[in-house]
This record gives sequence, structure tokens and C-alpha cells, in this order.
Amino acid sequence: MKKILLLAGLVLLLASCGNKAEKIPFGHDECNSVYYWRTDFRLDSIERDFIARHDIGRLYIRFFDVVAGDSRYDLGEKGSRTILPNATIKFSDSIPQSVGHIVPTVYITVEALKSMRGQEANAASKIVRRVLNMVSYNEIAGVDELQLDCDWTASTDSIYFNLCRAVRDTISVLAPVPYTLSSTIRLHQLKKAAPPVDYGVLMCYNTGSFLSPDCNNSILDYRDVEPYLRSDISYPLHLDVAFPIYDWTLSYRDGRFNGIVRSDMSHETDSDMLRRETSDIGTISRVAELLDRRLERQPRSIILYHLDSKNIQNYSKDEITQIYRRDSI
Amino acid sequence: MKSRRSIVATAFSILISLSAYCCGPWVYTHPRPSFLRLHIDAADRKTKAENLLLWRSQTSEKVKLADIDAVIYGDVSPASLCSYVQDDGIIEWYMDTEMSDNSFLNYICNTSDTEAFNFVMLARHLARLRADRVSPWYYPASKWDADYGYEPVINTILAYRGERFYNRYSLQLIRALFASARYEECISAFSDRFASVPDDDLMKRMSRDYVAGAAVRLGRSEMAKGYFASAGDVESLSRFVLSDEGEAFRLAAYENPDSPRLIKFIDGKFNGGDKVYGLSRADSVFVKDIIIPVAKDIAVRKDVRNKAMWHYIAAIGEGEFNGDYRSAYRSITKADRSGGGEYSDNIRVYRMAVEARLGVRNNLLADLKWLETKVGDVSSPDAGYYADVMQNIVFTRLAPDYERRGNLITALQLANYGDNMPLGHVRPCWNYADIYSPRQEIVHARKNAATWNYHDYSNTFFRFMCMQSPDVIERYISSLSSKEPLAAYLNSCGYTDRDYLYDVAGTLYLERRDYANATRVLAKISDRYQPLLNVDRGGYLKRDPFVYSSGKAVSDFVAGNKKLYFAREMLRLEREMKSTHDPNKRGMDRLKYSIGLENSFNSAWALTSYFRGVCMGGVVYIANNEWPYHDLNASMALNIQMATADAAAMRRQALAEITDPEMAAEAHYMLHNLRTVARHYPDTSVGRMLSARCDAWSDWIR
Repeated sequence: MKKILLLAGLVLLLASCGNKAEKIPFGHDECNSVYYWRTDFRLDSIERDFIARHDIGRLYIRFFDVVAGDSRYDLGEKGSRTILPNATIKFSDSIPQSVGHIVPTVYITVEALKSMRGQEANAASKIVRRVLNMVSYNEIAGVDELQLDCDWTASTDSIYFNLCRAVRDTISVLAPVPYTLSSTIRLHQLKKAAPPVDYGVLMCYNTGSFLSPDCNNSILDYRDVEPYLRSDISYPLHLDVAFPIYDWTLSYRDGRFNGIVRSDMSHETDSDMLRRETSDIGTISRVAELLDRRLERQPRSIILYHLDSKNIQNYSKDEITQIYRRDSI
Repeated sequence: MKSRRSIVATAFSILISLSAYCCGPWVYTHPRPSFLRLHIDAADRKTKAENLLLWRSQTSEKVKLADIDAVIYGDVSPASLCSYVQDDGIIEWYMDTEMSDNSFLNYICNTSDTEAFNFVMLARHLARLRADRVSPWYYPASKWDADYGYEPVINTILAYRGERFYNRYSLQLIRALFASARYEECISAFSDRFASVPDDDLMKRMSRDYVAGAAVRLGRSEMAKGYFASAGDVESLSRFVLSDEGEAFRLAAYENPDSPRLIKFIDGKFNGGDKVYGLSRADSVFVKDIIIPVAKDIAVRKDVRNKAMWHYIAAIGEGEFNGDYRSAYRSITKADRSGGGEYSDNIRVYRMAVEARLGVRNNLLADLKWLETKVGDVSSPDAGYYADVMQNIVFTRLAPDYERRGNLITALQLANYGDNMPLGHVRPCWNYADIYSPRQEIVHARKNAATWNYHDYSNTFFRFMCMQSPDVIERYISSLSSKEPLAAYLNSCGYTDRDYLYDVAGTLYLERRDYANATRVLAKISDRYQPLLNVDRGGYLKRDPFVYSSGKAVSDFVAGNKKLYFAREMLRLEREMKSTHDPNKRGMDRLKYSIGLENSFNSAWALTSYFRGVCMGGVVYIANNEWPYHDLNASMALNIQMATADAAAMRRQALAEITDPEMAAEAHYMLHNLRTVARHYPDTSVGRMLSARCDAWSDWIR
């Protein structure tokens, strides 16, 4: 009963979004969406069922990370550090045809971003060419968008914004079809200038520091979110919203982060402190309510992070449906 | 534990002091150039040179090699100047309206050499294709691209029916087959297309590496082994074929001892270490256990072309790695006698280094003069290397050896030569503060008070002088007019400004409290000199030595040479103390003398020293690991301690000697003992002056 009440808030948010059919400036269809964040694209029956059952219309697939790398491969400018692609996804399985939109997503580390300073166009060219080649090599259909994910801050925003501009310019020349460019937006980035992209995805997860043994829940904690949303947010970009559905157990030793405990790992030593963190449906609902109050009302896609049968199994079908539902009002 | 604490404290205090400088100070070390200088780029250079000549022979003898280089190895593409279309067998060329200044391009376009044009374009395309694929950013755009991306290139090559560039196309074919992982075909292509081609053919030689790589990938170790060994490719041999690097080296060295790639490997073992930490232990052991015996063995083989190089390698291994300079001398002498060839200069340098170590001096003068020509050859990129070599030989081998044998004058001459000979040439130099100072800047600092002199008050020669007794410096000054050939040559290249040298001698006398000799020597210095001292530039000489407890600068307490003034005044006080029969006068003189003595090692330290702490002229001497081995700071600390203690004893003696109240009051006033004046000498003129000036006289009496 309590859970149902909490979900009601979420429903209200989504429903209210649907009430005002404001025009989305870039022709972005609202649909159920999910991130795929593993390095091997391979779906089991639970995941395929999830996609079908929840009518997933957009799948954000992390193609590769961009990291700061070895100076043997420089960006062309003497003295600058280099960037490298890392953890490139391997497509071992086909993408369900029912998914209308596939969004290649590229995660850029802050170190890599710093390494791009003054070389953003060069970096953009590398990223775009690689993404387009991966799309064509793996014969992925329905791709007309690229998403960049980066935890940029005030000291690196100019690099990130230059990179976004350069990516947009490059992709408009090289891509066979017109591309949309989107970017993840972290809560702390909400009060800053928006990156020059078509729309953003507000990340409502990773809200705390998993490194800290004192953190209550680093995945999503209302107390971490609330300070960023104390007043109305008037963000210049359309924002979709991403919520977490993952969980993990974190290990701390001598007051320091020691790692993520894998499910197959043996039990901790006496000195280890373990913290189990989950994406609590109640917290998601409260955050959704808060967002409803603070964000400008318009239709939004909800994206879950991330597609994995281990995550999915923690929620009932109804709970997932409630998170996604936009037409329940 | 206590000593460890003090080391930590010292290091910390040094770091604190370092933070005061924006770009330094710099820790002092002598240059450590490698004596082994093998021509490691010879392989690439040789191949390139051969290729350019071959191109010229295949096109036109009028074409410049540099222009071929720009097209074949550089960014200049024939397509930038011309292109052609072929229609029904008719070729139509299109030229850029402006001619290129590249004679090779002009040749191709003007003669409509489609054959050369096509080959160059194909080779450039293949090179770009291969470069793209080794990039971590590479991702094929299609499965065809991944599997058959080289197919059009291979087909184009196979379609060539000419003879002129047949071998060139064969190399491109082997490259393309290797890059597309068609290893079997790669080996077959080599066998088929180069079967009747002589082994020394450039294209055939350039193809071998790919064939060896293909053999490795197909598991044909024996085949790969032969190719790698003949190419001197020790790394590939040990990585793919043999597990033991030593065995791989021996195989390659005996198979082809003249292989440039083998030489590159040896250079890596000798010189591959970090600048600070040096070679890894494994590399040192490899040099000692493997390279030296092999080098000695190969050097005496009849079929070896470059015997001198192998003797040279063995010599440096024996000397610098084994510390066996006798054996090193024998080997380097053999290298010399083998003709030296392209290594003759390097062999001579190392012979100098070994002779310096062994005390062999018969070639020294001629060798130094030769080395100076190398340092002075400013058009050569090696001038700096030879300056480093000279300083290493002089500072770490020659001068210490002369010092050990008691010949301090020659050691000083050498030290001066080592520091100042390079300045005699136009060559800019890195001075001891590691600041890139053109020679003119140092010369300017020697004449201009506004420019800090980073060179003369921190270099090795200066440090070595500071360690000597002043009479040695005086004898050294006298030796500057020596006609003995070595001395005359060394002096001619040194910095022999008499003011500079007499100032050092005079300061050393002041440090030893020998005021008579200090006065005699300092009196020889011209008036122009004092502003050129760094201690004067820094304002330290302005501190009045005769004002008690004065750490503050007092502007120009006396005009002229302040060191000379101080020496004269101390000498006068000494003499008066001895001659006067009046105990009060003697006490006052003793008091002033004690103040001068203490201050000259403390607040007015610039009278007896050129630096304070571990920083000399911008250079830090933290460790005493470099010649000259003497801890100037330790002796300075001892001098300060002794002078301070002696001065305190003299003050007590002086106050005991003074019985006259007026003089006693004045003495205590000089020592800032105002309460003593107030209590015991209120009725003296000093006492009355104090009472008239103090607001609360009673405060002093309480």
C-alpha cells in the first residue's frame, strides 16, 4: 500500500508532463528508453522480454569510453596529452528490431576532456568517425543521434562545449542522415550554462560519492538531490530524465573504499565494511515528484539505467511500468 | 634516529628555502654524457639514402635528392601539382598553373611520367591505410573494409606489368599482404618475386622484416630466426623465437655484426637508462655478461667490417661498467689502431677519459686543444656534447687526480678551464644555475653591476678555490704567467680576471682572520670591482660590521672597498691592542674588534663569504657527491661557531679591562646594555644622555 502511494507521486509527475503537449523543438519522440552500459552487447531472454514488454523505443548504447592515454598517440599538438578509445562494445547479438531508435553513447572521462583542450575539433573528428564506422560495421539501423556523457565542471565546461560544437559540425558533414546531438546533464550542471546540444538527459543517479563510507546511498538519495532542486529550474534545453534501477554492494576497508563486491565474491574480512545500495522505488518516486515541481512541464522520455537482467529482476513489471508511464493521468 | 630527524629537518628547510625562488635554485651536478655514441640512426639513414638515389636513377639525375625526400618521405604529393585522366587509352594531363619548386614533382608532371605518378600515389595511399589501421581509433566501416581493405591496392599492384618499378611494387605487395594478415601469401610473394633478385637489393632487404613477421605468425620459427638474425633484430628474435635475450643477441651479433639494428640494440642497453636513476640492474648485467665478451670476440674476427666500433664498445663496457680501466685502455687503443673510421672522434674522447683516469698525460695538451676545436665548432650540433664531455673529463677525472697527487695549481687551472673554456667560444651555454645564458650575458655580468653573475660565484672552479688556503690562490695567480705549455694553454682559456681572483684570496684571508694578508691582497683590487660582486648586488655588503647586533642594512657605511676597509680596521685594532699600555683604550679596541669579528661571520657575513646556506649564486649544493669533495657549509658553520664564541670571550675580557666609568658606560651602550648604564653609570655623559631621552627613566632603574 505504501509503495503504491509513493508511486502515485511519480505518476503525477509523468502525467502532468503529458498534460501540456508543448512542442519539443527538435522533433524528439517521447518513448520508454533504457541505457545499455556493458561492453558486450548480448541480450538474454529476460532482457529481450523487458524490451518487448515495456515497448522500449529508444536504446542508448555505450559504444566506448574516451580516456586520457599514452603519449605515443598524440592529438597532433606537441606537448598535449592524448585521448584513446577504451572499453569498446562488442556486438555479439542483434538489436531487437522493435527498438526504433538506437543512440550511440560515448562516455568521456574528465582527464580525457582536459587532454582535449585546444584540440577539440580533432577529438570530435576521431569520436564521430569511430561512432559512424561502428554503426556501419555492425549494421545498426535506426541511428540518428549521438549522446555524449561527461562530468564536466566549471573548469572544463569550455572544452566540453567546444567539443559538442565540433561534434555537431563534424557529424553534420560525415553522417549519412541528419543527427541529433544530446548530452547527459548531472544535477550539479543544472545551474550552469547548457552545453550546445539538442537536448539533455538529466541523470538522477550517482547522486552521492560511492568513495565515502559515510554516504547513505550513492546511487540515489533524496537528501543529495534536494539541494539542487530547491527552486524552479528553467533550463534552456529540453530534458529527458534518467532513473537508476541498478544496485550494488560496496566494500570499505579501514575507512576507505575498497571496491564493488561482486556477487560471486566470498564474504568480507572482519575489517571490511559493506554497504548495500539499491535504487529504491520509493526514492525514485520522491525525486520524480520533486522534479515535477521544479522542472518546466513538458513531455519527457524516461530512461532507465541500465538494462541488465540482474537489475530488472529486482522490480515487478508494475513498478517498471509505473516509472515509465506517462499517460496514466 | 636523531640524525634521520636532522636530515628530514634539513631537507625540509631546504625545500622551504627553495620555494622562495620561482625557477630554482638548481641542484649541482657535473655533466654525465654517455661515452658510447653509436650511430643508431645509421640503418634508417642508409636505407633512406639508398632509396633516394635509386629514385634518382629511375627518374632523372637532375632531380634533387631533397625534393625526392619531400615526396617519398614527406607530405608533398604529386597530386598537388598535376593529375591525369585516361580515356580510351588517351592520357590527358592537367597541370597546376604554377610550377612547383620541387624538381621531382616537376619531372613527373613535365615528362607525364604516369608510371612514377601511379606508383607514388599508390605507395602513399598504402602508407596512409597502414597508419590508419595501427591507430587505436581505427574501426573498420564495414566487414569488407576489415577483411579486404587492402584488396584494391593489392589488385593494382598485381596489375602492374612494367619492369622499372617491379621491385618497388613487390615491396608494396608484401607490405599490403602482411597488413591484411595474409601471411602465407606474403611469404610466397617474397619467394616468387625476389627469387632472382640479388640479396643486397634494397627492396628485397626492406621486404625481409615483413616476411620474418609473417613467418612468426605462421609459427615458422626457424625461418623467422634466420631473417631476424641477419637483420640484427634482437628484440624480435628474443620476443618471438628465442626466449633468452642473451642468446638472441649472440646469434644476431655473430650472424651480422655490422647490422645497424644490432648497434641500436647495444646503444639501448648502454644508454637506455633514466637520466636520474641510470640503467636498470638487468641492463647493466647484460652489458657486463653478454655484450662485453661478445664485443671483444667479434672485434678480432677477420670478416668484421667495423672492428674499431667493437673494440670501442668493449672498452666502454670494461671501463664504465666493470671499472677495469686497464682493460678499457687496451681495448680503446686497439680501436684507435683499427682506424677508428666513423667512430674516430668518439674513440679519441674515450681514450682521453681513460687516460685521465689512469694518469697518462702525454697526449693531454693535444687532446684538450682538439676538444676545444670540437666545442668551438658552433655549426655542429655536437658542440654541446663535446663541452659536456670536456667538463666530465676535467671535473670528474683530471682535476681530482691532480688534486689527489697534490698538484693544486694544475687542478685549479683545469677547473678554471673546465668552467670557462666553452665561454671563450660563441656557443651559448647552460650555466650552473641551468639558465640558458648566452656567452654575452655572462661577459656582460662580469662588467655590469646590474646583472646577476650566475656563473663565477657558483661554478666548480669557484667552489674549488673556496676550499683552498689563500696562499694557494696567490700561488695560482702567480702561475697565470707560466710559460709551461699545458699551464699556458689552460690559463689562456680560463677566466683570469685578477680582481676576481684577488677578491677570493682576500676573502679567504678574512675568513681565516688573517687581516694583514687580507689587507695586502685586497688592496690590489681595483675600485671598479666591488659592485660586480653578487653579495654587493644583493645588498649584503652594506651591513656595518662594527655595529653590535646589527642585522639590518646600513647604507654604505663606508665608501670604497668594504672588505678592504674592514680588513684595515681589524688590523689597526689588532695592532693597537698590542701596542697600547692604556687598559681602557685596549678594552675599547678589543670590544670593537670582537663586534667586528662576530658580525663578519654573522650579520655582515658577506665580508668573509660569498654565500650563506646551501645556495651559491642560485645553485644548491645539497649533497657532497660531486668533486670537489668538501662540505663548504660544514666548515662555514664551524667558522661561525668559533668566531661567535671567540667574540663573546673577547667582549667579556674587554669589559673587564675597562675601568674608566665614562668608557665603561660607552662600552655598555655599544653593547645595548642600557639597564647597566642606567644602574651603574647614571652620572656619565652616556647615562645623562639616556636619562634625557627616555620617557620613563625609572623603568631602566628597576
